[in-house]
Amino acid sequence: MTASSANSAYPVTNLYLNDSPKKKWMAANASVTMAYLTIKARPGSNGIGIVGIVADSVTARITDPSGVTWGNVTWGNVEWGVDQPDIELTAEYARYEEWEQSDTRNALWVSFDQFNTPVDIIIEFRKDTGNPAVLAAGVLVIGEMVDTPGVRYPISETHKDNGIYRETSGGGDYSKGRDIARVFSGDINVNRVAHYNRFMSRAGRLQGRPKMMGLVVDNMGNEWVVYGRFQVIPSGSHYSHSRSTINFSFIESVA
Amino acid sequence: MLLVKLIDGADTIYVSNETHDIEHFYEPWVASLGQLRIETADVYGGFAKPTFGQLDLLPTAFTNSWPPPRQIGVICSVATTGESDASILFVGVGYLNEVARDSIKYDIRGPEYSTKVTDYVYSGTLLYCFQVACTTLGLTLDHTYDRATSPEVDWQADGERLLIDNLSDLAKFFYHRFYIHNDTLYLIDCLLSNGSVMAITEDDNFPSVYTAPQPLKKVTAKHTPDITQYRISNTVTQVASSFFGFAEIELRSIVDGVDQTSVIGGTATAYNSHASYPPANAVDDNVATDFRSSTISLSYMYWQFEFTSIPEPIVEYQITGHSTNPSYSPVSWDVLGYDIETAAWREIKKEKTEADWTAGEVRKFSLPVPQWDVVVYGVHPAGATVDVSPVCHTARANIDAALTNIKNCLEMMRVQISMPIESVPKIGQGITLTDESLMIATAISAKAQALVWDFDQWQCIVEGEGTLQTAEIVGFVDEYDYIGDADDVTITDADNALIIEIEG
Repeated sequence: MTASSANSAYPVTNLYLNDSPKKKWMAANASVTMAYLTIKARPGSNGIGIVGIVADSVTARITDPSGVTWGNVTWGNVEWGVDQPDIELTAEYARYEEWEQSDTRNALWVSFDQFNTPVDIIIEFRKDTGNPAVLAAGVLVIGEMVDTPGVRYPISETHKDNGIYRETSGGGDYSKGRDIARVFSGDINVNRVAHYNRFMSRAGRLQGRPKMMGLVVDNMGNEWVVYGRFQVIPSGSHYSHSRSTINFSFIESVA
Repeated sequence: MLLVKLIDGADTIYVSNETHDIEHFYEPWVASLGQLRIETADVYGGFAKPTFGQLDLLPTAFTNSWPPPRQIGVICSVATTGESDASILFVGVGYLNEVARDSIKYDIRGPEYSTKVTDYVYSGTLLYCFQVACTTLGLTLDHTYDRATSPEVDWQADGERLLIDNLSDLAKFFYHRFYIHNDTLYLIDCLLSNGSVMAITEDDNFPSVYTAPQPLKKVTAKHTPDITQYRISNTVTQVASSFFGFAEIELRSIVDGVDQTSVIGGTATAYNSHASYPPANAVDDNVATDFRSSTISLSYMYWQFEFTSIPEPIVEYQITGHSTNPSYSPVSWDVLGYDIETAAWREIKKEKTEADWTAGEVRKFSLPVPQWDVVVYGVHPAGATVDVSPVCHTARANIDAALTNIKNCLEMMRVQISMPIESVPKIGQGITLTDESLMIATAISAKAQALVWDFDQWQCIVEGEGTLQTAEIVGFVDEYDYIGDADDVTITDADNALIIEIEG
């Protein structure tokens, strides 16, 4: 991965060699209104997730290594463009969850069909000229997305508060704020053969509990882009011959 | 924020218990940092030595330098906004304790002051002793807040000891405390505040409890009398019939078998004289027979020394003597000590008596150091008795003064205040607050004798001696007193635009 602009203290390696959303890649300075990342993606990838984004808009393009560029498609304030019939790239999802500027939860999720040849993915970060912020991003993950349908409604979204709060002698409140992490938990009703084993392999059995990029989507269409890990290995039960239930709890990484 | 720098050779690893993107990126790789305790050796003073807990790091900290080094430099700071306003709490060394799959533990050790001294004699003022010691230890001395008139010291430490321990004992006895920070030793009088008194409000601390030690029955110390009060006398039997020459007795101070000083002694040049050292202090008023007024036919001659300048108080003395004419034999040794408290002569030890003594022969005897208790009595006859040791002066008045300070401190209330790690007093710094959480709002004053930095809870526990001062009575204004009075009552506060007018 390379960046067109980077502050020496915030190199592009912070995006993929460090799993802290707060350890960012940043453009050289605030006067840079557009910076782009070039990612050498290997075949088989079908999703990209980015958290900790500081930008007014993000544009992604896929090119082949020979430099051919395809046109863009815009979704919301995220522009995601893929248009290359001969390798059948189509945009399926592009999600951008926006919080306050520089919030680590500013996240982008993109999924697309797998391609079978190396490609360059170019992601452009842009900001308005008057915006004093420096273009930045925290963590970028690219890889194979595993889709596990069947999430039951509702999804529980709770918050883990790491702050210190205590009453002072005079009855006032002393607080030392620390980052609050969202915890998403719920049940997934899955087909055992098609999804249970694969989900469990990815979630725990093969890899333990590594951090991963997730898109939590309930069956009401609510969506959350979350970079984090399963708090515990998801548990499951097989309530019928072919159907299983998975209980999961996914906590985001904020520090 | 907690900022920890790990120095591994030329590499510096920046870690914290949170993520901090400041001048350097501090990775959240500190799983836990044990409490840092800076605690004065005793409640009434001494060395406020830091003790450290374990530094528990995530293995990620050593991804680029695996395996974790056996030894690593640790600089721990707390800051509000960044490195620019960081205050270094300690600089230490971490020694690898445990490598596990989920954590790397280091034991932290602070600077060690390993200079040793043997039977070291301290004299002069306390300040002078610290000045000399700091030069030896390579430390800068800050004595801004030591006692204005530094107390006099007269003490020989016993045996081989660490210099820093001697200093701690010295400071403790004279109600001082000290701590070392960034190669500077801060000597503080426990009667003073280390810097301006910190006035805190109730919003600066969490609810406190104040503990009261029981009153003491007495505080005692073993009094080592002034060495100038020792006296040694010899009775020498004269066997010759004439006495025209001189006799001489030499005393030397022997420490560990080595002469520590030049020969001291006195010379009697005639039978009716006496030897002494220094001669000006010779005494002869304890002799049963005043031989100086007798004739040459006296059967014995009395030698008596009063020493005013013995360099070591616990020594073995050698007494040698010779005369050219006459010679003396046998010699009866009568070694006496002078009991200051009872003003009576008493025998303290006699190792050899009635032995022949020829000119030049060396005799040895031990001179034990007489001791007795100096007592400062408390008010409670059933209370505890506290023994104070070591005693760093030999004059009773000085010991009395020191024990009085110690006793007062031991009987003071103990204050323990927990504060957020934001504005924390220094060791020895005074604190005042009005604690309105008590039944009656009460003014509290205290001095920080111990600081416990609890990084996990992000609080600092300040503990020290203190007082609950005169209560500030907070009553209620009975506004009904005004109503019904025959007179009109008008309260006007233009500043607050409050005007109350009541007409009866």
